[in-house]
Amino acid sequence: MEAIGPWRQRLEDTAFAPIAHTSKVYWIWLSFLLAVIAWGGYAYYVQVRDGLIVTGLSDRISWGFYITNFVFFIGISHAGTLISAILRVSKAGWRTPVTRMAEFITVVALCCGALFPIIDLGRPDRIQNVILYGRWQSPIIWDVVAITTYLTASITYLGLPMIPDLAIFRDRTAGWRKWLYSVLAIGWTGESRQRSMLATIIATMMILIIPIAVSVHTVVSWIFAMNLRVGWNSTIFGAFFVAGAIFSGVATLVIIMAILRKVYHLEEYILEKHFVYLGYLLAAMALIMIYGNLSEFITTGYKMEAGEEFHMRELFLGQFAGFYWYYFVGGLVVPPLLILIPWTRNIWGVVAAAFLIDVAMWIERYFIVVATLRVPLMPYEPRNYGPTWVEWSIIAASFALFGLLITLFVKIFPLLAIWEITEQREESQTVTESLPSARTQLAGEPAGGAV
Amino acid sequence: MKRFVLTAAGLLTFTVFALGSAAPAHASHLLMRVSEPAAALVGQPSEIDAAVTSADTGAPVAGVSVTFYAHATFARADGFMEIGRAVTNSAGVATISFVPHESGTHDIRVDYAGSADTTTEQAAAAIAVDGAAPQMYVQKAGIQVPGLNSRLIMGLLTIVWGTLLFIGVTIIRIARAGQADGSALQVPAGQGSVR
Repeated sequence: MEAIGPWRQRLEDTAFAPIAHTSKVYWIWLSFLLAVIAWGGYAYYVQVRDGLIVTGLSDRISWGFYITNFVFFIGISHAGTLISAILRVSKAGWRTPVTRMAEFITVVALCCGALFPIIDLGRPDRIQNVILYGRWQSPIIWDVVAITTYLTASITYLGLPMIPDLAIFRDRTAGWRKWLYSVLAIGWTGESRQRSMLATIIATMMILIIPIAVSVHTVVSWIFAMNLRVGWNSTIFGAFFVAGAIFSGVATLVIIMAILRKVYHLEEYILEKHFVYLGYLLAAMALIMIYGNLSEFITTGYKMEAGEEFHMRELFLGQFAGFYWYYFVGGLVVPPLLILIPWTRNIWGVVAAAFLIDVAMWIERYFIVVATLRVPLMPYEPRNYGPTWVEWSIIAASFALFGLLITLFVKIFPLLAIWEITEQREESQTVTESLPSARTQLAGEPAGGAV
Repeated sequence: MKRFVLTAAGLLTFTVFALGSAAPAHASHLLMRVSEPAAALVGQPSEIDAAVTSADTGAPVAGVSVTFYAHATFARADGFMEIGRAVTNSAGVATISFVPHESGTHDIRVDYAGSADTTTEQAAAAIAVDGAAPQMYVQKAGIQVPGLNSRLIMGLLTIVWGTLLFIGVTIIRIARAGQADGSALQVPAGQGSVR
């Protein structure tokens, strides 16, 4: 095995490369994202100026694209923190090259998702009423509190393991960058007391973040499930949403990993096995999602209360049938096959599966919101919903914002968890070096005699 | 004497006749019986039947109107409130639908006014109404589980934010430890810096 010194140097150089070099393609990409965001900003200006009449929303279908996107982004925010924390807790050594990406996807997705309840308000200034007149009995308040807590915890959880890496960057830069990294590295010198304290708070956070992450998507599901509405009146919504969040979160992580691996030449650190392992997680989650769907629809369909028949007919055979069957077949059945069949069990196969899953999970959130609101509560004709250019533009801008924040993040912060990868390497090297002596002992040599 | 007796008998006859003709009303010769529903639930419609029969023959009386009342208390006013009227069918039964808004015992009274010269016939019953109903009819919504309330949410939030505060304080301690140490990670040999 290669000596740790040059290997460590190459790792630092790779992590530092996005900061040291900026290509023309980078600026073109940045300009494109800013242009899409600017267009979305104009669309939002039109919405604020003229009101929600410029959208496809109405009194009967009052949640559409915006709340769909809100749930989707909150869902993919589970990519990071939860995956990273679970892998840390379970001491999965292979996690180290992917945890940093996973953690910043969480923070970025939360920032993007949290905007949508405000965008969905015709009068965004009324958001202050949530604080001024909020009541503990309201699921909306639970949601605000849960997301705020999760965002704070996620930023903390992202920042803590980054401190030693920021110190490395501090020592490699000058000027404003050195000042920035000095502030963010909080005087890290790597002395034993600092290491001990950092290890304690990382361990605390990795345990704390798991129930917080689970509670967030459970509470998001309760915004729907606390209503006595066909399609939402379900007891398994919380578990279903958490499973769906992990599912779409891991899929997003796979896609972002593949892009960054290609763009920043991380092939030495992000290996095919990382994609395959995450693929296995996707396959397992797909089976859980299939089970959730069957459990949900068989129990409600067997009883078929008033309104359920309309809802299911719309979903399986009517207006939303194309969406639903794409979701079920394209998002839940095909991806595990791509991952589990040996011929497609590679990086491209897992990325293709992840892409199908992400599209399917966005669609799932769409029909959870819109197909349910379409069920009439009174004897009137079901209302149709169609997003306008304003909604399409704002949705496009949100994805551009997601891309922009990730683009900026990798330009400023260490993309790889240098010290964690190094520690993992050192541990595996120690194990490898100890293997010959172990083999010798097994062969009957006296302990230590032959070494 | 004979004249006195005749006069007295005449007066007595007149008095009896006068008293008889001045009687307030005579009985209607109808009987009423109220049947309460077997099981009544708050918010759920229940049927109350009133059967009217002839007091003389016991035969059902069809086509008479009866009025149903329920005992109510509102703003310190206490009394019977009309809840509906119905006409008896061929079986002599008048039926109304009643939706109780509160659980407990409801006193029901049914009146048959009859004609102007007959007394009002009344019958009464008590309906036991169980709770467990749609929320809009329940004065205290939900189940009161001790400890399961907003204080629990606040307690959990305090634990979470308290832990985050502990982490913030530890970050400050890490920074101070770094200042005390005074040394920094060295730039590896041969590395330049980026401005």
